Amino acid sequence: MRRREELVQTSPTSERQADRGLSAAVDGMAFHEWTTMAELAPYLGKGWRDLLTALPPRQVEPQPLYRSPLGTKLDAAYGEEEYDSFQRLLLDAWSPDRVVLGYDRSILLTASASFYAAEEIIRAINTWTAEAWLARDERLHGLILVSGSLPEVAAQEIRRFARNDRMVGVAIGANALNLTFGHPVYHPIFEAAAEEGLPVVIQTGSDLAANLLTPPIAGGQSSSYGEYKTLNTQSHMSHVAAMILQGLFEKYADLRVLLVGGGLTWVPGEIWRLDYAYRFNHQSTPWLRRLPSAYFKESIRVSTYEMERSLSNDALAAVLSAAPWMRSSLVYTSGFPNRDCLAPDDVASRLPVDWVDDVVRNNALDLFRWPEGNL
Amino acid sequence: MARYNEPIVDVDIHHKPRTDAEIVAYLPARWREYVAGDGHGNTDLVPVRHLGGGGLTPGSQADRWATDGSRPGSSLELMREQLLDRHNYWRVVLTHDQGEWAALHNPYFAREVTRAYNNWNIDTWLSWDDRFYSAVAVPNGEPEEAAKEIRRVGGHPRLVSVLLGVNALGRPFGDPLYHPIYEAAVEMGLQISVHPGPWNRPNSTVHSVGGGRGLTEWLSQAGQAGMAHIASMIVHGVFEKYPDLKVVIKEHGVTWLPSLMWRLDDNVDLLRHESPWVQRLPSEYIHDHIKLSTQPIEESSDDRRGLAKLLQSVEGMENLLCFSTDYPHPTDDEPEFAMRQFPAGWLPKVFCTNACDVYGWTPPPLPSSQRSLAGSTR
Repeated sequence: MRRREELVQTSPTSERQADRGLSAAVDGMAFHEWTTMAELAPYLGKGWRDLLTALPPRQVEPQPLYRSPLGTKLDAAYGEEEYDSFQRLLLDAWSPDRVVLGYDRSILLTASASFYAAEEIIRAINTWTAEAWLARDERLHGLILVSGSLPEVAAQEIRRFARNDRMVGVAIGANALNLTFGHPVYHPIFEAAAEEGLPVVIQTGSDLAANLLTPPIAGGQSSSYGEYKTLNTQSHMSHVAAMILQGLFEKYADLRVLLVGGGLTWVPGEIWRLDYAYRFNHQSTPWLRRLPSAYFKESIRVSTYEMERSLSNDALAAVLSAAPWMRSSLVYTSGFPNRDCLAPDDVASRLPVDWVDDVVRNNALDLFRWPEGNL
Repeated sequence: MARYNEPIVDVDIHHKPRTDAEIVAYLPARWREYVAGDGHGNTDLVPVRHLGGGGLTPGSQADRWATDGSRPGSSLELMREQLLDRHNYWRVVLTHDQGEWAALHNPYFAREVTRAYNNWNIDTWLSWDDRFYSAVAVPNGEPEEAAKEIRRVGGHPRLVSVLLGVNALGRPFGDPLYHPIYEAAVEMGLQISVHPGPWNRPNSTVHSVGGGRGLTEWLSQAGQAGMAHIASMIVHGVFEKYPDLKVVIKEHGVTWLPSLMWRLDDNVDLLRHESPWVQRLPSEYIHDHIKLSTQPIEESSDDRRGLAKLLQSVEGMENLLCFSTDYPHPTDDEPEFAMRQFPAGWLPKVFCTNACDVYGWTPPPLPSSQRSLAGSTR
């Protein structure tokens, strides 16, 4: 992992990319976050505004089950206005061509037990993103945050931004109904996303809300954050299995899904094992017409954040050579400003040379349906 | 001709009585009455499965039924014919049907059922064939009771392991509540077998985020709990506390292990901060204390060598795998199939000497050509 100081002092990425002949990166997800309800107040309906800004503050956002005792953000990202550090440390230092803004803490709202209040805050967050952030730099793009608690409301929220070209995907948040995202109850969300041509982003950590009835990992509750973080990939595994096997991609052939936050070394084994299980029991999923791996390759993308760090480049190359189709699956996502975020160069230096352009740029352009070429 | 013709150790074969009456006969009178009930057979010796039972592909297990109607895994003759005598079997670790009794809702019944199974096992299968070794059945929801049972029968020379099926306390197996089991196992010179089962309950989940609905989802994701148990044992310092303990994670698959090792090592700062007894790199504990049984081998659907490429990305992976068939279950792996999946140089280790390493057995003599491939077995 790069030290934080290096991240701050790094030379503009664009210069080094020019040395290598690379085009500028497209960042599939960096995080932006609101700090106080006052920031969102202008975007709340009046009744809700009176309620949610009154003192003492009302707790709508669920507590996370685990918190990192070592903190989560880069040290350098503290101490100034959020946009200022975002501009200085990401936009200026790494010079991405485009950045998609995702949600970190807000993702927990999607599991709120106070889900009517949460829906209003989520609506405000989306408007705040579109108006307060996207206006600041034309490279920035947003995700429409939606909650699975009320799938029809989520679908309306997606359609609310149908004409906003800068809102380029849907962040689905937690499995709020304690079911994996393969369950038909969530289909209105995927239907709206597919109709609007927006990919759906699933993040690790969204499963951490303390009031969810389903544990984020298998085998019983972890005892520590480090244990959870090691195993957080498991939410991706369960969602992938459920989405594919329950026929989501047969129903919505144009739908694309991006998995963020769980690393990438788990992917080949997971996909082979899905094929393995399917072959034994294919009669029970008659709606599928292809192997599970075929749906994965076509419809699911995997973020480079947080790619595993403790394996050598040779070992990583061996994993990737076992599943060469991942060249089309991996999407560069910085994960900024989290402490394990990765600059485009950090990712590029770990990948096979001929994969770099696809992973750091082209796959994101394809996923978010942007035309080729710089802005 | 098979790629490996030398002695085979199979660490996961499922054996069971021809009928439950064989086990009931070993229960105390009070519990025989409990099972008998009104005489119409309403009480099972195994816990209720949330997914139900049954095979996968219709007919996939048909040839495992004996001609006299004995159910799969209950006929010694058929097991010999289909497996032990057809291949060069040296030793077998019999693991009951899955070791799920700890999930019985009635803990007092679970105690008696596991005790009855152990007595039956010793009187029958372990006396029938010199190749048979097995595991102590325990009610892991009551770790002190489990420890008592381990001390009661664990001295039997053919009992080499303790079988942990479902995690009945709803906590992963590193949790301190389970440590009396490990203490007794080490004391008796036994190793641990962790085996999955379809008991997805709110307190003993096999899958994350509510997954595992339907048999294909369950089967495809059954490795998740194995990952969690390994992480948990390392995080709770089980191998610092019991340095002689070895654990075989059975039937959870193998392809997730490299990723788990890297992800554990990625988070070593956090793990040390929260669990100061994690003194070494997590992957080092895995190399020294953990083995995986090979079935179900997740054959690559991308290219024939994909699985080997993935496994070879971890140095020393050939020391971490122990061959298993999972006979007679519907997804069992034939030895020839398993042999095709690994590099030739790995086969003596995977098919024999790694298991010897776990169970403290002196490996059988291998022809010199195979021995040089196997290298030392520590």
